[in-house]
Amino acid sequence: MNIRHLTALTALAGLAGLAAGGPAMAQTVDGSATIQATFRGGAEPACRLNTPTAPTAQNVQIGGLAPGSADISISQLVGDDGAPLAATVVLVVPAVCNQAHTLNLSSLNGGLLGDGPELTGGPFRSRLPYSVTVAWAGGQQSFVTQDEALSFAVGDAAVGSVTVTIEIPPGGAPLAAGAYSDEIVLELGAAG
Amino acid sequence: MTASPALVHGWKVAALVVSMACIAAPAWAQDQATVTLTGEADQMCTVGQPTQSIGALTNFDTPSGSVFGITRLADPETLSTQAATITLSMDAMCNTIHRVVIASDNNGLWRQGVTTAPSGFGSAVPYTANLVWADQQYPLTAEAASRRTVEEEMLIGHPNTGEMLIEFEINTGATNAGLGAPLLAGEYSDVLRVTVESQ
Amino acid sequence: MNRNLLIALTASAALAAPFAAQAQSSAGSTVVINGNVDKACVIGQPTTVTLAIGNMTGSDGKITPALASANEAVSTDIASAWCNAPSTLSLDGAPMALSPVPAYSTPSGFARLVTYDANLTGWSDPLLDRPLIGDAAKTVAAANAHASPLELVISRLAALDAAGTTENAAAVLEAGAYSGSVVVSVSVQ
Repeated sequence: MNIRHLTALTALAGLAGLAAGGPAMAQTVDGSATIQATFRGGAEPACRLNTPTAPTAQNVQIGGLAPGSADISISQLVGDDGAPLAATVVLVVPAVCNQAHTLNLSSLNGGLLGDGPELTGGPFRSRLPYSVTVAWAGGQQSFVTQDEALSFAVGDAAVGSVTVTIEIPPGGAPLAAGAYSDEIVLELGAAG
Repeated sequence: MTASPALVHGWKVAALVVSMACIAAPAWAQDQATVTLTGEADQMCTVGQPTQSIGALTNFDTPSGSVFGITRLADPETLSTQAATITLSMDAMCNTIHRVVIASDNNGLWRQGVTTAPSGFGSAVPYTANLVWADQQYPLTAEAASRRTVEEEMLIGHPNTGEMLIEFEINTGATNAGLGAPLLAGEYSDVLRVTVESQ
Repeated sequence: MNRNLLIALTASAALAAPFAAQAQSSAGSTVVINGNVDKACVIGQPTTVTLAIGNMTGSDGKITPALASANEAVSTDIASAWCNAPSTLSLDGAPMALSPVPAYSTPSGFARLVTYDANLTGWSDPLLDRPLIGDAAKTVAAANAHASPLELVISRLAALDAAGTTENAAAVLEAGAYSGSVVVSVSVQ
């Protein structure tokens, strides 16, 4: 690119060569001079979860939708015989991770837990387990809340929606009276 | 000078014939000599190291040396590109007809390392670098569609001395995967090279 | 040339004396011989007809401090210049000019004309010319016949503005070859 332009004259005396930094002028004997400027910037590793939508809600009420959170209230937890009724909710959470990452899902209580005394035997139960299915970045995993946690690695950046399907199974032993609750934590973590 | 005797009818008259010997060059009422002075001015181009010019500086760190660092390339919420602008200034001079070349190594700020990006992610950031010189403007567009060298060349048909500017601009959301796409995490860079060359 | 000049003078001197014609009879005739010396000036060839200053600019493209100083840049001598009558010595320099002249006018911050001090010594009085475009020759008169060698010394180069009438020390010289002529002439008054 730099065409050498030779002149037939005597060489100039006292020329400075190309200096790295500082106010020196770049100049060469053949009448050509070059400078360079490097531009750079970094995109930090990050994941973002945005406000979910609930396209499917059976026997539940959805509230408190905010980036990365939702409040799910089961409209009718048990039937007349005290046994749980089916409830299903599908949450679609827009998400993005700009590098390889891990999805973690955990249940705080291992199921819907009643606020009364814990019952481990007898005709009534105080904990209602349920299943959660997570679909993300072309992968899908299910877990039951007794397992308490789910984790899978995604080997690349991914953008789209995390689909969380919560299914409360009907039937089984009746539930003791009380308020039942659980907290599901969904995490997308970019390593490093 | 010669003298020759001549006999004329009884008279002997010696006539002196005088001749001026024209050996010397003719002398005039005026004479002149001319001395010619000659000298040369070599073809020469100089350009100084770029510094940040007075003007808009958006999303750039305080410059140091010849590296210009964007403070935060990606928006923490959208993970897409954030706007960044800076104007560089260099003193430059060419004492003859010359050309100026502005060249980009990468055709955009390109992510270092493997750049096969998953669908929907950007791995390069396009920008424009507008070169201002000799009362004219020469925009270099690094559109980041592919990683390659690009350059703009302009011929300046007369000597010029003064300030050369590079107006560097990245637009919000600009990526090689479409406007607003998230950028892959990583370090992005490019090198601009400006050459002034006598013709 | 000096040698030839003396011979001519000698011949003229001899002519001035009346010639005694030898007559054989008592009747004599007188021949009067007269001679004229025209007023004249002769100036010799300079020892160096082309003074090559060489490269004139430094790394900033301006005239070097050495050439801008009062130190001699180039010089030559003329071995002999004479006038046999009162005369006027004239020194007329032209600014060194870029050649060929570019199609565009002188850009801002540049120069394509260079002036200098031309010092001519050896005559009745020294002469100095610092050429500008359109200026007149510098002259000095010698009241009597004068013969001497002359020396021409060039120094103090400086760039001129586009019109060639004002110095512009901050100007960068446009690249190329420059030349200017210095004419030394002697003429009888």
